[in-house]
Amino acid sequence: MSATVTAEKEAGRDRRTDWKLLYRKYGIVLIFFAIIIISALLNSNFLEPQNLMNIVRQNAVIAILACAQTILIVSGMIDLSAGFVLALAGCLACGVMVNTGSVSAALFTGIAVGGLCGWLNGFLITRFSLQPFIATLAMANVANGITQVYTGGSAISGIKELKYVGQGMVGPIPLPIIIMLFIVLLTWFIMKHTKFGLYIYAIGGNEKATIASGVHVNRTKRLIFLLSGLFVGLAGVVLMARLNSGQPSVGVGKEFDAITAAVVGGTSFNGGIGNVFGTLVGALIVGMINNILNLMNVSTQYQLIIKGLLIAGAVIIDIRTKSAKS
Amino acid sequence: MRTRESRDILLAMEGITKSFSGVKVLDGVSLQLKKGSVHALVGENGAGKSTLMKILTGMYDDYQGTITLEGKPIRFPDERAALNAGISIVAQELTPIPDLTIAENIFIGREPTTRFKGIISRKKLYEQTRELINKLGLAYDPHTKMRELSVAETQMVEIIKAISRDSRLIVMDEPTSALTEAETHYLFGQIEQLRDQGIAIVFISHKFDEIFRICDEVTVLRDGKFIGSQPIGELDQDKIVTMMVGRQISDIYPPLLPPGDPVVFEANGLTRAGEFKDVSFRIRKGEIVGVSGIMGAGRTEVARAIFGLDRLDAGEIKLAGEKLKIRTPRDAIRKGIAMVSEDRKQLGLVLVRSIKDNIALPNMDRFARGWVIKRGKLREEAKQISAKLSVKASSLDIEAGNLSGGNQQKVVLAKWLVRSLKLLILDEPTRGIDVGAKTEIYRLIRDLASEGLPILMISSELPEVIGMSHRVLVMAEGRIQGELPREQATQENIMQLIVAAAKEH
Amino acid sequence: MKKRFLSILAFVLVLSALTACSGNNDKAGSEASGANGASPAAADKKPFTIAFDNANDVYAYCVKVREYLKQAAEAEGMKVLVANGAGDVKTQNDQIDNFIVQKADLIASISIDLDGSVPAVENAKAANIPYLSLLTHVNTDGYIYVGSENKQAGEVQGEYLAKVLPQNAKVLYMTGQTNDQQYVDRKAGLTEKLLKARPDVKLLAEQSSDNQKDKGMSLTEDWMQQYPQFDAIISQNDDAALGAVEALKAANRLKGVVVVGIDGSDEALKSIEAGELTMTVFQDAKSQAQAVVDVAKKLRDGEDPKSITDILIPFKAVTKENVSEVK
Repeated sequence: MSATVTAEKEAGRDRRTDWKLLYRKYGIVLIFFAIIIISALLNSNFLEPQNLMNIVRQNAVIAILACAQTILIVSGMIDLSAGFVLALAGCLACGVMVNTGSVSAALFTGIAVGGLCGWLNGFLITRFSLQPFIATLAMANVANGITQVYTGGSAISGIKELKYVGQGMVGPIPLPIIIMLFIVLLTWFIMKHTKFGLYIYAIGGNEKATIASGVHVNRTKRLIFLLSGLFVGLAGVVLMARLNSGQPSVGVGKEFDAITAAVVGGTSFNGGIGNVFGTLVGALIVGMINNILNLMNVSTQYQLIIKGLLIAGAVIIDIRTKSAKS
Repeated sequence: MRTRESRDILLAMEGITKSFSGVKVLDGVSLQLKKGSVHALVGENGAGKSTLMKILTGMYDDYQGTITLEGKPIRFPDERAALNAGISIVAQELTPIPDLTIAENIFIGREPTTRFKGIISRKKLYEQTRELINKLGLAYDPHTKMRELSVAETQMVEIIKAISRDSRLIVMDEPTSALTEAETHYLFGQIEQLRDQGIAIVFISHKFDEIFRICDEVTVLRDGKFIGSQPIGELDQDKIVTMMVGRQISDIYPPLLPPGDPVVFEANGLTRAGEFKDVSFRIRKGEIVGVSGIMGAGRTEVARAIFGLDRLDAGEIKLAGEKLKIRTPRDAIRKGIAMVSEDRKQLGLVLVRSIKDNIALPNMDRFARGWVIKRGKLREEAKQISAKLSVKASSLDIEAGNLSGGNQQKVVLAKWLVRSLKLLILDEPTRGIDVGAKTEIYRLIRDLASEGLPILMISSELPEVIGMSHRVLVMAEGRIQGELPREQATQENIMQLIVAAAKEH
Repeated sequence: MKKRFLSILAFVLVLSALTACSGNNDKAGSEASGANGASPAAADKKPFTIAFDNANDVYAYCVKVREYLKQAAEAEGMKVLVANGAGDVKTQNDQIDNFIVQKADLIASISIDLDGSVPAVENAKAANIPYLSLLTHVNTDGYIYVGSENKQAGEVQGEYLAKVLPQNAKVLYMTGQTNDQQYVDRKAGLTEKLLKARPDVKLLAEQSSDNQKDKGMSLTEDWMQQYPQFDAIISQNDDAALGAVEALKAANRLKGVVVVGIDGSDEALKSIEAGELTMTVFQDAKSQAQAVVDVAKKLRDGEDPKSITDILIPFKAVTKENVSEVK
């Protein structure tokens, strides 16, 4: 019976219009430049080099988180604990800094804590077959709780040299930007040139087919979470360093900013589609919009509305341009 | 001129022709349905039965030909129109809404309302449902939730639903596929009642004993063409089989080379509870063993178990004399076993990724050094294998989902053929593929066999199995019912074996 | 089978972890019953129970109040139940319902919403349990208020700025969430004592920093782009003010800019000592907490809740000169 039914989908498919494909590849870049032009016209300060540098620096942490979310979303998973794990990792790193005075120990702690939480997420998901949504939500609460207990609710100050990780410069370029670029390039390399990267795309595209191709999917999923956790931990250290203190409450909601950046940048919630440069552009688009709205002194309520519309728009375009999948 | 005969005819379909993207799926098909009769619609998979029924029930409205209802020509623009005209279908896949009650399911979308439109009158809803149930001599409580019903009862509710629409014609598609003997008996009682009430019923089934038990007339389709329509009294099973089959085995099937001598693959006593039992067979070097049977016979399940997607409860597998312990597809692939699944979109391909990515996926041991992918090598070999298989695509970076069915299947084959295989399992290798691409794939399979690869080919298309196998295994009800060497593998013989098994149940 | 057992186990572990984080009831309770500060009679009777509901544990100040409250209460041999509304008034109201069921003797809540918290007060009244609203008001009567008036905080800021700002000064205002009553009150106080009292002062811009340090920092960076010169950044809390300080420091523009916050957090006091943050409005968490316990004591001694008046703890301006007083 199905033979004749599926026959209707045959023939002529190779000549499908590629405009959807083109948008996915280049659409975001067009939007990116459109926003730059519009913003420059709206406000003369927008194109000031210092302002542009600010934008990138302010969003470096989000961009790093967005790299983490990108590899997760592409593989069909998600991480709702990133914000709280970021806070936990950052605060613990600050604590280590205050107690030992060693920047490298602090960095190591932050990254390791992030990786551990990530790996735990992966473990819950693969060993107990929990949905990523649920597992990371639970982790979020646990991480938040530990952070509150550890810091007693107040900031950890006196981190001295650690602040250079977030406020230092390499020549004319702020260090956080360098770190961000490094992570972006690393993520790009992994996703494009390693078999691990191919598996990330494949699992998100069709997990069953990937299993049937002999890939050890569970082990790969744990690795994905571990890697994203390491990024989150690093982001935590950078953020606290920039703020010059370990703030237990700054993580709230950051994962959603990261997810927004990824989705605006073309990562699809269906999995299997997305790339880190798009995510970077997405993060910058969101950052530029925040910036121009502040420069124009648009009141906060309107800023929220505009950002909400932006996310909705990005998701709608995402659905419209996704390719055929029965 | 209206004869007494023609006054009895409720609905007539004449010269129905339909194509999908240039492929003719129905070619001048006719069907005449009398009031108060049970009319069997028979044909192999792909003969056009479901397409014809979809036209009848309003799902397709672009076709050539005419439909007349009570003598008046009519065309249904959509399913609602057909329903309103009194034509319902009880589909093969039952889809009740489990948490709503019987009454709610029956009247969904047309609930009786109170004085105020928009408010459902629960009183009327349950009263009317009770009436309908009683009319059929049943005793269901209309307040029962659908999830509490057995399959047979669910089916009955679907039938009640069809009747409640004052249907004059009810299409039943494989209605007994999920029923036990007792439930079938009960269902037939109801069908007889409906017939006595003057309702016309179209009965689609593969089971000959049922056809002979309950049907008055039989229409046979083959390859989208109308072959014949006769009262049941004038037919017997052999005659029907001949009408269903009888295709010229033309040269779409390339000549096979004789297989080698040594037995390469052995399966002994394979069993998986509820799916198949005691399956044993051997495949020699370069031999193509076809596995025939109707859907649900357990063939795909056997393939999945050999490939490691499912666990075997009992039995052993030997490849080149070595006993294999296969728990996951990884194990199977490592030993040189590959499977082209029956549903390439589910198990075969990652549709959103490129052809190249798909070819690479199971072959990272070839294409990656450590973690890093050797892009050059991948590109080269992907190009080579795609050319060898004549994959028609402008570039290997196109998404697999954008390819035609035939080309998709070739990509699935390509990803396995990059490896050196010891056994290839094909499950419905040409499903959903047009004739031209089919021939190519047959040639490929033949070439692989002639190079010495043992092949297990599962197929529901009799001509394909017969044309392409050195030997044919016939499976039904989870067991191997028989084995036929090439000379004896005729369509009649195979059908006999299948039918014989069904009879025993 | 094994999978299901393991998932249940994981669920139980997660659940216990969650409850461990959202309240330290049992610890406080067991400490209280073992405490010796109370009269011998209290050791036999059920200890006076204060049920505390925080507006949001992410606010460090509120957490500080909570901790002082627990200390002061336990010193009196009282038991403290704790919950966190996490910023959602419905969650808080449900938690207060739980407290009522648990027959708390006094409900002390940092009520999240002026109108939304009314049902909680009404339910407490209906159950004859005294309701004490801490730091924030509720739009009904019949409850005891302990706190400092947010409006007064804004006034203290305004008075200080009115004193020190030069003629025609330009100021920037960073605020908390605009749907918070706290935002409205603090702004009202500032407006009255600064903008109205010194009409020459110009408010260049007002934006929300969510009272968060990183947003305060980003906002200040953007402001520095837009406004080549300004004299003061006024923040509705310390965290954001400190973010502004960091941004100004990094851009070498801290000099000559007055930065003021509200709260008097440890970090802020350190920053004032270091000469970076100019001034903060110290909220005396300890006294506020003590006031709650004083009310509890009165209730325990049998006073009629209706006769207990509101207690207002004044804000205090803190600058480099007097920072040592409050540390």
